[in-house]
Amino acid sequence: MIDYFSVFTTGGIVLWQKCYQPVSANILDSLVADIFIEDRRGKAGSDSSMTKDRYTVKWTSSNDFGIIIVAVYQSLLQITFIDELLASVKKLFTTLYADELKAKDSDHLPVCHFGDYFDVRYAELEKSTAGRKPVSAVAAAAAAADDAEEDSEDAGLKSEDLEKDELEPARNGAGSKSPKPLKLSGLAKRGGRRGGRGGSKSASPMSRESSNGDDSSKKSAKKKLRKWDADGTARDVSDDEGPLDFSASKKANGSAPDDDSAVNSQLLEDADVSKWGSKTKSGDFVLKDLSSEINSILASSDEKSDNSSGSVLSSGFGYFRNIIGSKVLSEADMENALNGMKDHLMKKNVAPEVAQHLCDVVRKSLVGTKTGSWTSIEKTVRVAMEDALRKILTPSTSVDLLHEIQRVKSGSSARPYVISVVGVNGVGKSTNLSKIAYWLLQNDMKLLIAACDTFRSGAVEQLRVHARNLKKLTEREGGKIELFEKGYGKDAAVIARDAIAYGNEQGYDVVLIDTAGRRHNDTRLMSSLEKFAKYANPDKIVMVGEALVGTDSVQQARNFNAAFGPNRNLDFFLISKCDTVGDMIGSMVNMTYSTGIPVLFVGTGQMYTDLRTLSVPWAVNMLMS
Amino acid sequence: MSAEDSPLIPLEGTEMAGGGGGYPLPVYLGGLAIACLIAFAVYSFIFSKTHGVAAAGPTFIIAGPSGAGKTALFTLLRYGEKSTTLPSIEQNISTSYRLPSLPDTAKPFVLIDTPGHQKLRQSMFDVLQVSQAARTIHGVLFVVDASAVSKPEKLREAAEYLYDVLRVTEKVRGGSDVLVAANKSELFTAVPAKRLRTLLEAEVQKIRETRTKAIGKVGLDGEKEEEEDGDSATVGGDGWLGLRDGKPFRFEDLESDVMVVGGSVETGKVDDWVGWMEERAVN
Ligand SMILES: Nc1nc2c(ncn2[C@@H]2O[C@H](COP(=O)(O)OP(=O)(O)OP(=O)(O)O)[C@@H](O)[C@H]2O)c(=O)[nH]1
Ligand SMILES: [Mg+2]
Repeated sequence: MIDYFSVFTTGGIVLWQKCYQPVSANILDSLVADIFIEDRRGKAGSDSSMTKDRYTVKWTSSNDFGIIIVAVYQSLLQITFIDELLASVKKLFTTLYADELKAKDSDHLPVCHFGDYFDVRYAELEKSTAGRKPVSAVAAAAAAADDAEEDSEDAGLKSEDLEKDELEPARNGAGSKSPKPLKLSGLAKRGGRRGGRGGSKSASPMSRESSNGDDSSKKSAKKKLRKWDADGTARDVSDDEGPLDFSASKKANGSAPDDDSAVNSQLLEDADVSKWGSKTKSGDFVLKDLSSEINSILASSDEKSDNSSGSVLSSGFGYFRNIIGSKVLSEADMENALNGMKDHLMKKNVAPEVAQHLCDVVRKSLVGTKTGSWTSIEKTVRVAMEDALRKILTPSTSVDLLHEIQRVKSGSSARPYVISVVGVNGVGKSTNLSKIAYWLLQNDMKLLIAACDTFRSGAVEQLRVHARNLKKLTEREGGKIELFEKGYGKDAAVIARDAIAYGNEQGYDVVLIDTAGRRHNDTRLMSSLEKFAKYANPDKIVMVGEALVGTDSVQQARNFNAAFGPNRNLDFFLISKCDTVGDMIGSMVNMTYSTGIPVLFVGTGQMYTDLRTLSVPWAVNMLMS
Repeated sequence: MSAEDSPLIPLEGTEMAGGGGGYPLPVYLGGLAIACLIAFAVYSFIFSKTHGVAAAGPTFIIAGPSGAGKTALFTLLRYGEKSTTLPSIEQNISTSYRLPSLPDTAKPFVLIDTPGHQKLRQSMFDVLQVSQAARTIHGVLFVVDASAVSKPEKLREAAEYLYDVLRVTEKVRGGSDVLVAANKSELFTAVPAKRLRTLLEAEVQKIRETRTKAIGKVGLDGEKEEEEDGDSATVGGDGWLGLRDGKPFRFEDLESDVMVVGGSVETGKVDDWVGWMEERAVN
């Protein structure tokens, strides 16, 4: 069902993972980058799932522990209990390994032997959704309460209605099922030895079995594994046993610092253990124990959240806390600051939709974290917002036009480099195309400008004037620039193709194509762009957008980005008329947000030299000022 | 130096000015108390920032493009085992990294693994600049996937990032030491360290050519081109690296000491890198 399940830190260290089907590392990496770095999650709809290629990814995260939990499965499948599974894994993981995860800089990697818990919980959920039993109510409540804490989106079940008595069916359900792969400490040690170094390197998770002592004592210890603290945290009762066995793992580390235990794979472990587990008389009891442990952990979340929010004192302290910092942030704490931030961004011309999204990102990234000492909530939110803006505006790959032109020029099949500009009427396509031309001329490029605006009268003449001016300006340095035009009324795509062919024959370095301005909701004109992209196949398609437009820029960018067919996107934006808006440069955020396409250049005036590369720190400063 | 503390500095300044006039004693005391508070606030602010740790002790920074093996190296160095990894979204920081050859009593190092994704590099430049300003930097381990650089775009990415790093390390007198760790050398597609060095030099040469011809950045317009208030640290940044003598770029021309050394996190062959760190641990 699920192909891959993993719990990892924001630092990128996998704490525990389970591969049911091999998913290539490349795919996993790109999924993680898409979701958590590039923010390419499904824009419309849920913000905790994404579908890419044939995979669907669902995730949840816990900021206070700095962990992310993801499940990857084939998009064809409908796994109904996946949200519940994620929620309960989060709860279990953060309860079981709380100390280990919170320890800032311990001397070993967190050792998370989560396999059993996962298997039991997974089986329970699978079973309950198969229709034989109602959804394990306790777990559902836990999941709901947990979600309410962080997301407040999952309405879920009323937690008061679900009390301990619901535990029984769940426990029985798990207890009576067929023998489960069960990991008993000490066994995996053999597995590890057998596995050998480098044996199973590809899917090797972090979970490490580190144990010593004889097996029989282990089994009995396992049964009375944990007792419950008041705060609902599980603690090991026995010293030398349990998933979080510091002492043992240290000993193992000390005696054989780099031994096979590290490569001991989860799959191997489970395989070994299942053989043993079925032979164990006490196996069922142990399993039952685990199941009830899981259920009580899941149930414990209710009380915990009640406690923390109900205190009268805490609200009194809140104000102080805000001044001296070191406050654990809740959604309510941030509400004011975020609302202020949203208004502020909207004043900078950021579309409401985008401002809301940014605030959501910030809220998600901060909830559960602690403010720094002497740092107010406002300041914390501000810093997080700067980060979010920087992340949106920074391109994922750098664009070095000169370098690319050089490469195409000197490549084995030399041809002209083709850049075309598109955009809404009157945004300054031709003007900014001329600015780019001026810059390229100064870098000794031989230019051909193709007049493909065959629509608006005067467009060709305007370009002719530009070409003549530019020629004059750069004549002394030997600038070579020519206009390719076929008058009005002809098909722009054909002219573009002819221009490129001509440019190729004549040995031009760059062909710059000007296109007709079109409103982004004019379907007829927009649809001709697809043909244009096919015929001209430009190396770079630049959308010129106006700094002046506000909210509409979101849709403009989206429509233009989608207009070139399924296999072609815009390459970057040029935001024109930035000199006229002061610090209200929100439309560049709107456009990058809605497409993921970076802003490369900004136009800052009427002169040929008034073109600049975007500086992200500058933009962030402007937006936050 | 870093943009973050600037809002606080003027605040402190005004307090000081207030204390200068002829006020009665309680006002002085009050002013003093407030000044102390603010000084403490500034102090804790700097150190509460994640990159503040870089100023707190001797620091090694792990940088490099995504997928190079930085996090794997980090866990190998810090915990003695290579972890399974996914792309980093945030830094991994250890403030108690001990080099194996140094006595236990020696001050532990700060070891910072930074995300390699282009969108997340700012934090690496932040810690680099902070640690250079605080003179706590002992070296940058710039990890490169030596098996990927046969692809032009991968080589390009590595060289561009290295270029930006070097532009920052060149800013301090004497430069900072950079180890280009040619990782994944156990793969047969990996290029040897020597070859990687030439490849990177040739690529950096190309980059510095186009960077100087690039369109200037907005907001900087002419004035104080040299200072660039930390902007050079971000992707892009224009300016020259190395000597202007018309000769091709060479790492030797830099103030920063740049070495390219092969190794492999996968097979645990990192002794040369650790040796490099140990050489730089003492000064
Ligand atoms: N073959 C081989 N693979 C390695 C080696 N070192 C690391 N890897 C693998 O390279 C991949 C990426 O390693 P990471 O440590 O996550 O890369 P990173 O540099 O931290 O990447 P970001 O966090 O995205 O910047 C992992 O799958 C590692 O197992 C090596 O020496 N040889
Ligand atoms: Mg990493």
